[in-house]
Amino acid sequence: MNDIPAVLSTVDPPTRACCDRAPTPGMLHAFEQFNRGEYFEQHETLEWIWRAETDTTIRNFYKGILQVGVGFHHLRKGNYNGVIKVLGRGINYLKPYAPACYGVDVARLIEEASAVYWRVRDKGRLETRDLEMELPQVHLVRESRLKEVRMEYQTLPALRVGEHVRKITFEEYLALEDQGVQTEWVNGEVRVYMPVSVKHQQLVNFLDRVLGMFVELLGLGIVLTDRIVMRALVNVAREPDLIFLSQQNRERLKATHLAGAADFVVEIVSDESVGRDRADKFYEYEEIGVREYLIIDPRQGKQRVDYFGLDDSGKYQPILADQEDKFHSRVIPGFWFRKEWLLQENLPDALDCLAEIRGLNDSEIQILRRLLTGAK
Amino acid sequence: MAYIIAEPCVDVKDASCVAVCPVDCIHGGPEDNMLYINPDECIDCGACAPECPVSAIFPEDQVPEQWREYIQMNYAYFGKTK
Ligand code: SF4
Ligand code: SF4
Repeated sequence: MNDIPAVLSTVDPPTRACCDRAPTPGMLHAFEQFNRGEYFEQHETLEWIWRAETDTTIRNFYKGILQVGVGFHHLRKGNYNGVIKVLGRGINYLKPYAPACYGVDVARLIEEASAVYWRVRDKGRLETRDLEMELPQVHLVRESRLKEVRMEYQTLPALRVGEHVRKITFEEYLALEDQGVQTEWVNGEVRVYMPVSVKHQQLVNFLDRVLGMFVELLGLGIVLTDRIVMRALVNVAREPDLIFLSQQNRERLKATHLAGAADFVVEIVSDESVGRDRADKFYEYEEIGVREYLIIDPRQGKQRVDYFGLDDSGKYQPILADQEDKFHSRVIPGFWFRKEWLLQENLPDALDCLAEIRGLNDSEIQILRRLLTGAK
Repeated sequence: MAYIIAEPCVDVKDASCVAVCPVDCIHGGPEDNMLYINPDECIDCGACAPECPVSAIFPEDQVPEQWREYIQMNYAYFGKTK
């Protein structure tokens, strides 16, 4: 088959180590969208993952699949130039990752997508709109082969930010925990993340005080922060920013970690965590049954709060605010919050918020304050 | 429809937008005084607009009145007319 004209200047060569990993839930979700022909949606999912990826040797892999999908999107719309440019670029991005990467049969995707590319070129601009053809899908290589390559992958741990460390067991991972860095355990590898910002800590602390007091007062369960380890899937352990565990699920809490899903999880987004929070964890938490997931993005220019709850079929649906701009939790009875509380520059007073949630009026709040401070 | 880069980019051209475009469709060479979005390749995802430090990027139908000529200029850069 002819080569597609190169349109790239540089591509960082992939390392075998990153290619040998298994796909994450976020990636699998994107591939499903791709295979269903939801090309715009697959781009959005992969874009989150791509933008969050700091490892330059793997970033173009996501971009390659994303652009092959967008090329098909242009083909559906009869946009000849779009197909030639974007599909061609996507295929070229993928080449360094052949034959297989992250469990994807890259060689096959390149071959099948190239066939589409040349067919469109041969037919030319005028016929693009009428081209009827079945479009290629993303196929995974056999799982057994993935396991073989995973076994070979053994180097010594060196805990530096952004680094992916060797395969270890869950027990070894828990033992690493006291090293004082933020880590998570994904597909058996330890990942080390940036220390969090002061703003991030203040936000966690605010929620901890309001929600922690609330559930304690009413005996509803327990709130934990400070990097509690939550075993998400068999081979994944996450450290959410804050979790709530209800009384009836209390037995999931072990001496060192949470074995199973929390009832409610909060993640605070940073530049470095955005893809994990919005894509990977979203699907993981949905899959393991975290009943509510609150994503707070306090970054300049973003300032978003997204709140999801599991529906009857176990899928996340957005939870919207009521007429008074209150977001009501369904898993923490009586608890609600306002978006502004979480996004304003100076966080509000935790006691005031707690009192407001409990329905106290202003003079009652004054009295409560006086009683607590001893002021006359 | 596509996204359009307008006047505020002129001579700023810091390329913050280029890094976030998932389909690499924001172009411009050293000889240009601004960047342009290829309307054939743009998928209207909107990722570029909030990245621009001078708010130069708009959806085609929301380009402010005084900069509407930039729509034509974006198209013309890629040899197209609108
Ligand atoms: S809207 Fe999306 S595709 Fe279009 S130029 Fe901006 S980032 Fe690129
Ligand atoms: S980010 Fe804005 S100013 Fe910078 S190159 Fe892009 S459009 Fe121009």
